[in-house]
Amino acid sequence: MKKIIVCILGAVLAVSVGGFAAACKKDGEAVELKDRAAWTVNSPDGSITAVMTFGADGQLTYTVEKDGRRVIEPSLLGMDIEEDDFNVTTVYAVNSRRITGSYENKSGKSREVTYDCNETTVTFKAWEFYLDVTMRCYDDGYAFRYGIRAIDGSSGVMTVADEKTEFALPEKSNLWAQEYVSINPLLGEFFAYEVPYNRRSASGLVDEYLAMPVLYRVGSSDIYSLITESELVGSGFYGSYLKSPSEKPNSGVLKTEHTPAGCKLDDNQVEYPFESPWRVGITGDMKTVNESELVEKVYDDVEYWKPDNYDELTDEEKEIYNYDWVEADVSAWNWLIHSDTAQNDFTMQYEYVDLAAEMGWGYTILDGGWNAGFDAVQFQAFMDYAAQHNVKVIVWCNALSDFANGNADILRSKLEMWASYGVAGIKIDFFDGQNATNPKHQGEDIDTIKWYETIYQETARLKMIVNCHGSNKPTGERRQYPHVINREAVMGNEMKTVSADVTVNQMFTRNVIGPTDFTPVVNPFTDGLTAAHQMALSVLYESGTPSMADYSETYMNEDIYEFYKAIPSLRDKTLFLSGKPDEYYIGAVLSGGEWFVGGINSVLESDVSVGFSFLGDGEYKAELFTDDQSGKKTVRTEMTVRKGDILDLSLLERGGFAMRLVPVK
Amino acid sequence: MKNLFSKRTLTALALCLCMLFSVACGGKNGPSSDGDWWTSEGELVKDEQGNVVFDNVEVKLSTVVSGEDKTAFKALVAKFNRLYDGKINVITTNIGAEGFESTVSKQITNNSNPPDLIMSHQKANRNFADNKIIQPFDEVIEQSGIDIDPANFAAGLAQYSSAGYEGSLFAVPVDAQSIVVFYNKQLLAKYAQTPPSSRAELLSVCKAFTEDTANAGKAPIAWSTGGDYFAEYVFLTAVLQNGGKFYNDSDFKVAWNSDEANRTAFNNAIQSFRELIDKGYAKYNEADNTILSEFMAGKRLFYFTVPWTMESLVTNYADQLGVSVETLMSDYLGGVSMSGWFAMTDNEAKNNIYGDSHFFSMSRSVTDINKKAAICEFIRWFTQESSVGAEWAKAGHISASNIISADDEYKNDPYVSNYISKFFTSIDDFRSIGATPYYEAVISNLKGIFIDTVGSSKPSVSADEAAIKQRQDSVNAQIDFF
Repeated sequence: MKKIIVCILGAVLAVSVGGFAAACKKDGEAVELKDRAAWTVNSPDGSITAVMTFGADGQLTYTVEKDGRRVIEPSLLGMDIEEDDFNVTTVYAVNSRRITGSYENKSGKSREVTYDCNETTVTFKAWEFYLDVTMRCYDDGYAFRYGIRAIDGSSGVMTVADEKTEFALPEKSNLWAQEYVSINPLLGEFFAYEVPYNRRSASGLVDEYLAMPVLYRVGSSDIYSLITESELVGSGFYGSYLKSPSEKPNSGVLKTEHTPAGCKLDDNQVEYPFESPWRVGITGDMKTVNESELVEKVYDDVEYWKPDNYDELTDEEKEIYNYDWVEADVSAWNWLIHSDTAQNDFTMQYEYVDLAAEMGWGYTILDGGWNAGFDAVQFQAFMDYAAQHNVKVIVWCNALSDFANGNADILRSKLEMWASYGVAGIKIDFFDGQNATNPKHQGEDIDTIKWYETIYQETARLKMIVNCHGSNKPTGERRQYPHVINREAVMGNEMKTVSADVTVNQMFTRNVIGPTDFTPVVNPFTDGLTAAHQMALSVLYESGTPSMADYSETYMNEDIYEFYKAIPSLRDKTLFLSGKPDEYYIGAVLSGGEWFVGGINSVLESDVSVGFSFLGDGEYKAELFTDDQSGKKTVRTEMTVRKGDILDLSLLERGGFAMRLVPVK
Repeated sequence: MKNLFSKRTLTALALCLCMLFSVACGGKNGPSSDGDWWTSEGELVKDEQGNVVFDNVEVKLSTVVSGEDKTAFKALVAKFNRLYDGKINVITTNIGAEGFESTVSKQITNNSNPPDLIMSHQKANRNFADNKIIQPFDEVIEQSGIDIDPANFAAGLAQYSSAGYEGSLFAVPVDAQSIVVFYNKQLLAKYAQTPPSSRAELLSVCKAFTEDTANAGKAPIAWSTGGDYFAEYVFLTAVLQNGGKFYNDSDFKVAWNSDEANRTAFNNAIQSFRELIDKGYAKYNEADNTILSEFMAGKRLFYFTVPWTMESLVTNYADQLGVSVETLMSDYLGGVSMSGWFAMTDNEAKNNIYGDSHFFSMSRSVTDINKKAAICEFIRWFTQESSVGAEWAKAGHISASNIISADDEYKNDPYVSNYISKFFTSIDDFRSIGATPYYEAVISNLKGIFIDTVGSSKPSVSADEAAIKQRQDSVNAQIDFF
């Protein structure tokens, strides 16, 4: 009954507020209803414009343009909750502001990041709740989010019926995305973002789930846009996917939907006051999109996480939360070569401590199986040995089954136990629910997102870094939890047969939004990727602890030894040089005064040019690694390079190249 | 009755027959006699030379390829998409064999995100056609001029192109695959000049191996009889090589025990395994990781495995030995056919190898003639480009295309010349299950015979025959029941 009354009142209100008669006719002709209001947000440089429109029908929609070209066609905004009706609202307040600032990364694409945007928040008043819609425009994209709060200022739990957000892509747009498919449909819905990013025609989509991020090219223009979400952790919300609605087939419309990769029924109980994750559209030419850090910039000047009792802590304890103990560095990782069964072979593990020490890498990982037949004395001796060699040890664990499917007390006690041996971090796996028995939540269910948050907080207390594996996509969490330094959610080398079309497209999609644990090797497993392609991946995929996955002795090869000793983990700058999805990718990384350049090619031979306009003045001594004819080995060439030089290269099918450029003093 | 119908087989059969609302025996004439169940819309755009011009056509492909060969398949599709950039884009979905046919049928029947192009095992095509899930290629081939001719494919596979509707092209053969056999070249050289090509030669080399005290306790043949495909591919191969017939072509009933010649063939097939096991040349139920380790350590002579692990086996083995892949192929690891190995008597079928074969077919949901032509173009590319055939062979599949097979680039590819062509010396000897709509029941019961007999701890001829009869009666009862 309440709904009927609400509808009638809504209709009356729509007429009275808008002052227009719906469906009435004047002299026999239909009268077009006028929008009630519209709000325009421009990026600081004026190139991006978002317009929110409150229509005569009470619907809130938005459009986005880049340089006058439509990037988002009229698309719905809003949320439905069972406790109120946001279809019947009045505009309560409109606030605009400019947000500028900067921050320093402990890992990421750049050491220093500045942010600058214009923001407008429109507050709609319903019966018992306010709905805030905040739209921002940056020079490299747009972002928006919703806030829901009780008019009486109370807190509580609401039922989210639907998020209405749509992204209507312009006509003739192609996109690159992961189609959702459970890794084991017979047993449940499992998805860890480890499938290829396929090119699709936006208008060809019918009733399909796509995982975020989704990259699309705006029609046939040179404008690209990448849709994803940010600030998911801490929002109390579920992870979202994009779906081509069945009622709008072949329309190019993508709508946000609850993750299909969960196990919790009715996963829609959300606490209020509520702020949704950001819906982010990184937008511009390919260079702009690829270099963007918008997923992390939307956090503004957020402080690193501190516990609620921070003020009561000792000075020494407080220092934990400046996170100075977080160190980006390369890691040795032997699971790919030696598998689960060898992980508790500490004779072998010593070998990789020695490798890390020899190469100047900061970490080694004990992967799944490391604690089988655990021997405390043996383990302590190993930890002592690693410490003596200045190598920190990361241990693997199962996010659900090792902690009673999400028991914080068990998590705390195990972490404390590991920390007591000197363990410096965890590689935590299977958030997707695989290998868990009757989990209560998995994937990106609300409680799993909260579980991530608990893990991040408990590890922070113990000064342990975190590498999420079998996990969801990054959503900028390292802005609040800088020790969450690495993440899988990528089709990586652990698949062994990953192919070049996959690695190339991941550079344009997954690698844009956060750390990417690909685990490159030196000698290729198969013909899928050549040796130089693998080498380039050690440079290109951004990660706070890039994991080097080949045999220890492989790195002793004198041709490659110095290169892998110098592999960057802490980046000053990351540049997109050239490339196209499905074709090839070339990028450069500045770290400690040295430049690294990597190029990876997809499935057809390519001729590429590398322009060195990004270099500083003076000469650089360069070592270039290209494929031999077979693609099984690399060939090392030394050369001198100056700013402005151009290097032409022919890349094999699935080939690549890698370079290290050291300034000549 | 309880013994004859397990829950699982009943469910499988029910599912199979739910799809079959118009099964007929033997061949049928063109589908139009029943009324066409497909339509075509639009007109093809052609250039001055008469070639179809494609403009950003998206083709959704569902494939049963879902093992290690999935990566190779996706890489080939990626290559096609690059070559046809802006013209045709093929999107691949891999669905495991267990649920493939029901998933695809449901999608198409319910018009719920249906695939446009299907790459299934041969056995599915008849049911797909009878259930009006797929449509023939004839019209679009004629209109587009894209040449896909069954005559250009291995005859043994091309015979299934009509899916039971004579005169129509419903399915295009792609490849064939079965269990394959690798051998240790250096070890074999101690006991024989050449790899065995007959039962007698196999027994001879195995005898020499076991008599060598250096091999004490080791069986020359390393196979994992409990592997996913062993019972199906190898036992059915043995049945064929002994002259056995899986079913009657007219009514699809089976006579594994009731027909005297067939009974002998089945008994011989069982004995062909039992002899190898009894003589210590092979063991029943060894673990695959164990036998692979032993084979790679040079302790076993022959290794039976699925073909799609070939590339990783080759590269891992070369890595372990510290030699190049080329050296491994020339000096260490050989490929040999199991043709003749299970034939207890000299007969016409002694070289037959049983396995699966992938076929392309087109969903009835496709109506746009341009999309139909794009599908044909992709099939043409996949089945006529020799480089594609070579890449696909590396993933363990021998090409069914005569055009590819005759091409030097394909023939000279190291994986083809060293392995694929050795595993399958003649694709004309390759057999698949054929056009029975009851293939689920037939195959599962044939696999059951292998387990009931060769896997029995108390073997006897009478027990074997009882098991064969029980399985035979089970299949026939199911056919009668439905």
